[in-house]
Amino acid sequence: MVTLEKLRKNIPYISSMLFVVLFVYAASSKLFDYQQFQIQLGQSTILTAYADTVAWMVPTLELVLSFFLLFERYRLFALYACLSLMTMFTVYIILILYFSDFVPCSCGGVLENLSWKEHVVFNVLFIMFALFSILELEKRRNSKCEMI
Amino acid sequence: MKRIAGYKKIIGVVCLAIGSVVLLFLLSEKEVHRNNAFTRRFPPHPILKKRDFELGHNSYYIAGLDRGILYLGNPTTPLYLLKINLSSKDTAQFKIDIKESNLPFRNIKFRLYPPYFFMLDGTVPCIFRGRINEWIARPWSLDSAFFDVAIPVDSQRLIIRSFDGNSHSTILGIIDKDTSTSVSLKHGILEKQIDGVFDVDGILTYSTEPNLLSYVYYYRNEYIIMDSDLTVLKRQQTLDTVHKAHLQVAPSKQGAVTEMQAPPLIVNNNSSLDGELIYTNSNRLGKYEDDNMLDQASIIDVYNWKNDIYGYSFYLYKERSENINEIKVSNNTLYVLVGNRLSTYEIRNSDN
Repeated sequence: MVTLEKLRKNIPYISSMLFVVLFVYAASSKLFDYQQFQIQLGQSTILTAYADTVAWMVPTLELVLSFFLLFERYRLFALYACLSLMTMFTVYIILILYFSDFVPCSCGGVLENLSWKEHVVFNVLFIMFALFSILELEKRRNSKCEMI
Repeated sequence: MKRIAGYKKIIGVVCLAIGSVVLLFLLSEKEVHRNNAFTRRFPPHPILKKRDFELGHNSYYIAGLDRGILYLGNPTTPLYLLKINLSSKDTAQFKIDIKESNLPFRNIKFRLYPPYFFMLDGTVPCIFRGRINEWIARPWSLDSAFFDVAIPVDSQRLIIRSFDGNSHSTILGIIDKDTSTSVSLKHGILEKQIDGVFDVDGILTYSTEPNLLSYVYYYRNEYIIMDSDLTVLKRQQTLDTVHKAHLQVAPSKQGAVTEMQAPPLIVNNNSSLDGELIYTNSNRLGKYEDDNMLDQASIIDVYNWKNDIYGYSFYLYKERSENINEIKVSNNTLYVLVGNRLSTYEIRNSDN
């Protein structure tokens, strides 16, 4: 029970670090092969019209969020943003799987080797991390307020 | 609410995220598929289905038509032709006999020009010729010019689409055995808008009666009618409003090749020329057209190029996942390669 309690307490920290690793890795592999990334996005048939904007916004956002995740002060805010970003990625994948004629990938690095189903599971896992962390942090904040 | 702190915010954030991606998707879809600037006319029952032939494969192309027999080729079995007798429904596959077969063939295509057939491979490049019913292909022109499309317009002459190294663009040309210069390239027929290669891509088709060619651009609303000397007779617009190709191309990092950056907006997918009429297959929706129609059918538009008028449109019904690979119209009969089938239709509304 003690370990479980410990895990619950530390989950915001653990998942923040996981997000940092994921985002820094994903963003840098996208930026290293930026042109390829841009082309893949453009070919996705879903965001075609906005590929240019999205192509630089996504890695930038990932890096900025990683930065904020490092500081406890901004962690809750950053986790909300992570939750929203991961949800967006997941919706994007689902839309591609069901509504697109062909399936290009623009995730970057080893993530490209995941099958689409694995990808959804992977994303949902990270969404869960974000969710639990937010709940934990919100609870802590509320109890602090009450104490004061 | 105190019990689960922040759940409202979480739901809000998640809904916002889902909503924004779906919205982007819908906006992007709309931009690609729908165009409210033109209206089609769909007269009742313009075509009558005659026959379906199950082919078993979806990779066939139409090599030609000769006295009631349609010949189909297939890049996966390049030396075989499938012969379909349209009245008796008999089908048979047979092999072409090649004299001189140690060439590095990569992309063999057959084209009929009765009483001859041509065997073409623009990557070698080489052109073989033989007689229909003998089916022996003998070298006819070797090392003439590289090409990616070639259509015989005479027993001695072919129209090719090639690449011009000087202008770095796609170009049409003539290979003629009767003249001293065997290959002549014609500048200025295909009009460059962006890079001169991707943006001028299109469908070259030929009509025997009269002896004419058409070139329909994939990415803009224009078609060109030419005679067999490649003199441009007409340049005309289709219904669509896209007159500048929507393409993004970029040189690749290696520098040597150009890549498409985004899926292009395809205005015309397929085309066939039959006398004064030109048939184009477009998957762009006009005004007052049902969105779901594209799942069940492809749209064919008919134009009279001589009078520069749009005639009418009709649907070709198909399964959702099937693609129309090729259409050909000859003597008011429409041949369609769709999915694993060949379908034939009688065109009844030909007075337009």
